[in-house]
Amino acid sequence: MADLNLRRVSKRFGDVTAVAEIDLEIAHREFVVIVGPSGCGKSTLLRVIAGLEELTTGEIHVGGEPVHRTPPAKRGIAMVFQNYALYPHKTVAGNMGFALRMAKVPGPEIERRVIEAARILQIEDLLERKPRQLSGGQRQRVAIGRAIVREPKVVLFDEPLSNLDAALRVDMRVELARLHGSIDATMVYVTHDQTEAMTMADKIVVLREGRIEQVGSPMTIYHHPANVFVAGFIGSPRMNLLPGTVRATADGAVTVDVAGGLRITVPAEATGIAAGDPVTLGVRPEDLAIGPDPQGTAFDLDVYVIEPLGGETILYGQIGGQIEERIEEHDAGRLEDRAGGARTLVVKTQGGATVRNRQRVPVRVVPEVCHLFDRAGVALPRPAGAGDVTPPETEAEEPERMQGEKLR
Amino acid sequence: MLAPIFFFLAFFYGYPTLSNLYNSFTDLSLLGLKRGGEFIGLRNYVELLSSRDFYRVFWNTLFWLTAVSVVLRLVLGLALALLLNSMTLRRWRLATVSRLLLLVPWATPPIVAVVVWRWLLDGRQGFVNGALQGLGLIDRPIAFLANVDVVWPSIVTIIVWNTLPLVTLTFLAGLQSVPPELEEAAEMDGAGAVQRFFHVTLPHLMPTVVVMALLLVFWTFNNFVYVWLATGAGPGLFTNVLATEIYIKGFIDFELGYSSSVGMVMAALMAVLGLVYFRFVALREFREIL
Repeated sequence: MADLNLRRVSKRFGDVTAVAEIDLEIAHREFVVIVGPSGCGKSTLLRVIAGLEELTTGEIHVGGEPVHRTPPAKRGIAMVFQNYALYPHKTVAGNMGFALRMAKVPGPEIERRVIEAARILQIEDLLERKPRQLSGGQRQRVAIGRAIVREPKVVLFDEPLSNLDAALRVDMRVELARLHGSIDATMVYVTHDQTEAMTMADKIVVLREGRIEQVGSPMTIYHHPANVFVAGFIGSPRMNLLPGTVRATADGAVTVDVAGGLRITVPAEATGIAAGDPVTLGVRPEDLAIGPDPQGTAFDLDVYVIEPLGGETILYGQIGGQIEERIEEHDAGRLEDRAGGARTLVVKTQGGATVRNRQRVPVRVVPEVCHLFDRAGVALPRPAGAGDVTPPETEAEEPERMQGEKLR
Repeated sequence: MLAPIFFFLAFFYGYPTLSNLYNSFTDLSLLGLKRGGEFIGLRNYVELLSSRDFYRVFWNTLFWLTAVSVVLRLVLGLALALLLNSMTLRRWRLATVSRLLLLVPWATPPIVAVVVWRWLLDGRQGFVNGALQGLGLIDRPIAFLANVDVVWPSIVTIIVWNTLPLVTLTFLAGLQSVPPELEEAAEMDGAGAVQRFFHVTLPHLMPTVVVMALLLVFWTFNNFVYVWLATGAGPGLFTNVLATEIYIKGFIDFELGYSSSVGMVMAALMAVLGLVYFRFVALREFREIL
């Protein structure tokens, strides 16, 4: 059993705290993805686990054994680096067998294990080549091969796909998922790409400023984000966050008035809030639909940008008036800065939608898929199973952070 | 467009070379420049190659002046670069200071360097003798630049002192371009400091070492200044090298023809080195550019 436990792990560089009191339990053979925006400390956390950075406080246990004072090579942990870090003057076989050579494993045994790993990664015919003769994807495979040939208990990945082009990234994502099934190792994977997180992880850890915002399965994170940050970070296009005011609370339901004249009753636990409190209503672009609503929870959207992606179309619009101003802003390239602003709404519809630019369309909101966040940004608990029928959205796009909140 | 420059260069390179080649087949004397030399065929070369003195000059140039000083500079340069690149020095905040200090010998012109060293190594009032005697390491002063046992090590010391900074700085630049994640990958793979040096650092530095070695050989092999200023090829002709031999034969013995033939031998040896350089270094650079 090679579970990985972090207990109150902190890393400080001088006055800067990169990782703050992280507690994390990772089960044997689990695939854990650590996500967060740039500078959230995710790479530092990985390097602390690897032993390349000494932790400031806390403990790290692999398979129940404390390893935080053990040299990196003796922790039973291997690491795949972002830019591969292959030894340029060694052949592929030399690269993959280096750790075994350092561990004084006999030659024939090294050869057997290198060939075995190469077979798993389908790089058997590259073993005699030098890294510079390989493509990016092949180098990545060699780097992974070098990590797994040692038969480590834990494999760490530091944004391993970020240097590959989009198509290759998708292929390697599938490869890694397959690899995870075929070797007996726990995997910890760091990325800023939420698509990689959603598609590969058994468990996602969302990190911000060195602290864990939420830990959970991809579906939990998607359907039950713990706070506004997680809600905005996971999902693409990012969740619409609209300021509102609590109108009334009932048992398991909160009625909210949202900018644009919409009144909506959302199923949520009304713990700690009362009528008149400011709240944030979150609704994912894919949970909105074009068309009138017989029950009346709909509002008018003035569309000002349409992004047809083929299979789906993304509409950017504004709840109610001032369409002219928005277009000017978009032309000036400032749209991104304001997207997510109080009255801006993003809707994802099917590809065949016949909406035209500058058109006013009715947008339907289903209360069951809405999220509510209190003044501090903490989610009001949703009833179990809320929204779970919606398939997760996995479009690769870097979401921006909380711009709308600042602009409000 | 390049034609005028080409002809210009061809003239100023070609004419002296050809003139020197012709002179090497004559008995031209510095005292008879107007009369000109008489064509004597290969007699200068025969005399040169059959002279025992010449082999000593040859050995001095190849072994002492070039091989010893180049190897020493490569080894010391690498060691010093590793030291300067070490975390310890950085932790003590000495990195900048030590790098500035390193530049002092390099900023010293060779002539000044040799003159200063001649004072330091002086057999009567020299600082080195004073210091060694003060420490009780030697009983009587050593004439460093006149004693055949120590004269070559002394000259090599001057050369190394004066030109080591360039080597060190070049290696230091090479060391700083070693990707840190390569070191880290090796650390994760279980390589200790020594193994990391041989498996990561040295291979990364190897191209720099090769180029540096070739350049040092070029610069040292035909160097005249250090030997001439330090010992004047003495004591006697004990430290005579090819470059000083040319000067002595031409301008002290007035045998310009013979001196020219020494020059041609030297040029031929340099041409071989040039070929090596071109084959291993320049060609690769060309390929990278094209």
